[in-house]
Amino acid sequence: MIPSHNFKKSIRSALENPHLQNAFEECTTRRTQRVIDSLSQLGDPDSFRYLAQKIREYSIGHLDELLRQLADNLESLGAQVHWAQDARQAREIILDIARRHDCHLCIKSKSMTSEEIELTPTLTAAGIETVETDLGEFILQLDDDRPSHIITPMIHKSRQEVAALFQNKLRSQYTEEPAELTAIARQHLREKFRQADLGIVGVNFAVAQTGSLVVVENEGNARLTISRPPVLIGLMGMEKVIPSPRDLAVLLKLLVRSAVGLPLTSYTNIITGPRKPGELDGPQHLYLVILDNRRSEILAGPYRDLLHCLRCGACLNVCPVYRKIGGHAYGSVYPGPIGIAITPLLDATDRQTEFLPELCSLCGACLDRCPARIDLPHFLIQHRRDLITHRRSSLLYKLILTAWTWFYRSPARYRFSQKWLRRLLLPLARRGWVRHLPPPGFHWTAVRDLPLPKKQLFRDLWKKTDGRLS
Amino acid sequence: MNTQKEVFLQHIRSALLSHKTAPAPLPTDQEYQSARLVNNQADLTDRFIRLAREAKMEVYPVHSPAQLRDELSLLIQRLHLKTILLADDPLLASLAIQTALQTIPHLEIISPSIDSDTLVSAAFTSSAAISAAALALAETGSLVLTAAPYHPRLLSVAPPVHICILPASRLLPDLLDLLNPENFATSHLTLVSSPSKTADIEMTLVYGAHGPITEHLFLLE
Ligand code: SF4
Repeated sequence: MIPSHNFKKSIRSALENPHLQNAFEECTTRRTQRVIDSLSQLGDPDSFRYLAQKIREYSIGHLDELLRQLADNLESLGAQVHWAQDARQAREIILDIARRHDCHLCIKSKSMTSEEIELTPTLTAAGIETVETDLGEFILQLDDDRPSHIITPMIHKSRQEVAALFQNKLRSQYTEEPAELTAIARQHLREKFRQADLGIVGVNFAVAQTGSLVVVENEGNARLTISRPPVLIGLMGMEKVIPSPRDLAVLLKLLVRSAVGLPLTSYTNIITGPRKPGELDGPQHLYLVILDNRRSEILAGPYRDLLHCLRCGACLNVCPVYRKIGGHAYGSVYPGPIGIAITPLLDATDRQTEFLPELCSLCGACLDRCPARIDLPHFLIQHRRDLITHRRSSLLYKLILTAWTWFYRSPARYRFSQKWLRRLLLPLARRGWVRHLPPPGFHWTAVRDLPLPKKQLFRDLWKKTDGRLS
Repeated sequence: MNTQKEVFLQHIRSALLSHKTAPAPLPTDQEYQSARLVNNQADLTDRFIRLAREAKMEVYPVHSPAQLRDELSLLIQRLHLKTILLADDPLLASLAIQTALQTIPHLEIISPSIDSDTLVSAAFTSSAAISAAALALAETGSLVLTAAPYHPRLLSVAPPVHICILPASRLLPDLLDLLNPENFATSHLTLVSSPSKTADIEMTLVYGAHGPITEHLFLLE
């Protein structure tokens, strides 16, 4: 959570930024179309989603056994496994590894988990130059900015901004051409790849049966990170483990299509242990850091299924709220539907995250798209219920909701409430809508319009016409 | 260290025990097989070529080692390549690739298997690399590259041009055929499905982010 993050202010500024509006609309629409097209290659994509759900359910249901098996296999391959209870421990473990091997230049390939534990500032403070190597992340790092999407981290930036940034920070010739900008970054980063003595990668899947770490990417920066530095650290949330290679096959077929609308990304890397005798590159020392960071609490409670998430980003692309406000307005590391569902659980220390689940219209679009069939709307309603029942909602709000519930529970009370509500609101309404309520309701109408209850209720209409239209 | 692990796993175990219902079983063999997208052995080559080309890989089907050597020499001259890293792969040796390359004037051929330092500096300065694919996948049109003493990881990712030789007999139909424990015995396996690419700047697709800018593939039938 970003300190003193002000939702309303950041949402308003996102809505008022035309570039942002265009970029998010473009990106999410185009991507969603491509995702739908490529999912259709699966024949019946829903049967794949059921399979994926089964595999994830099994994996989470046997998490302790699978993690033990994974660790045993990694160790017998010559890798070392570390267990981090929270973000601070994870940072300490990684820093300790870096110090032990006397590392000075660290190359990182895209990892949301490393954002979650705020790793880079720690390494930099310890005098270890740490370079993001995914092009988007590299640009964000250069500009001291944050990712706004799980998969495409810098959709919020225009080519003009990148051009000015490169001219300023890399002393390059001014150009707005994406191909030329990419070439400038390539040139700059090649020296870093060549000299790096430490690599850090985010792990997309870990295969318990073989002790393998799987990293998917398009740019080749992860491949270079895995190939070049003599010390490599994989970082993963504990939920990333799956039983066997064939589970990987099923999940990859679905994950990549859902994430980017292609059968596979440019590179799918499967690392099984450090370099072997006779091999000239690859890590001599391989470490895996497994992070809990409240995940075991999630596992114990009613939100367990959220751990099935594959971080594909599909739910972001179809979410009407995300598409309007973009990733930054949420103020959390993980934005969009999955972000507002999981952030309050991962980061319960910060009061502001409790209200994230309100950034949802319950339209259900994410439910239709999630490859792991996670019922996100259900969990968002659960969050709101939690907020009302045992968290810090105002007494008045609770009172209003309790009254509302009471009226809506019986047909007679419902009918009565609609009749009186209409009478009460009629003087305030213009063309069927109430735009401004008097206190205490004015907070509510500040961002919404309230429809005036109709004279004739739907149920009456239904009775009269026997369910037929007009 | 070990207690760390036990405490960590203990948290998970007690979290799991707080749920009454037993977790669902894994899918059955039959269900896994239902996720298969490619069965037909007959059109593997066609499918592979079509998908690889759609993903911007240059594919050159060749029908004999002699034709392969000729076309490879022509490609190298057409691309004006100056220095080439040539993997000491048994397949490439049996196809006499090195002999063919030696006839090209002003071409420097580097063997990557000397020592680590030579490898690193050659990988980051050569204009191209030639290697053989261990396997390939018809389902997605991907090459499968595996690390070995004669095939360092950097070879096929650092130089801007990657040229790969693939005998058609190494084609597998489906991801389910590739992803099994036996194939995970190598320390590093990469599925290559296109040249390196990025669309980070305003969603504009650009090839050659950090890895090869072009991928050239000789498919030996
Ligand atoms: S919740 Fe589902 S759709 Fe959203 S990122 Fe996770 S797996 Fe993808």
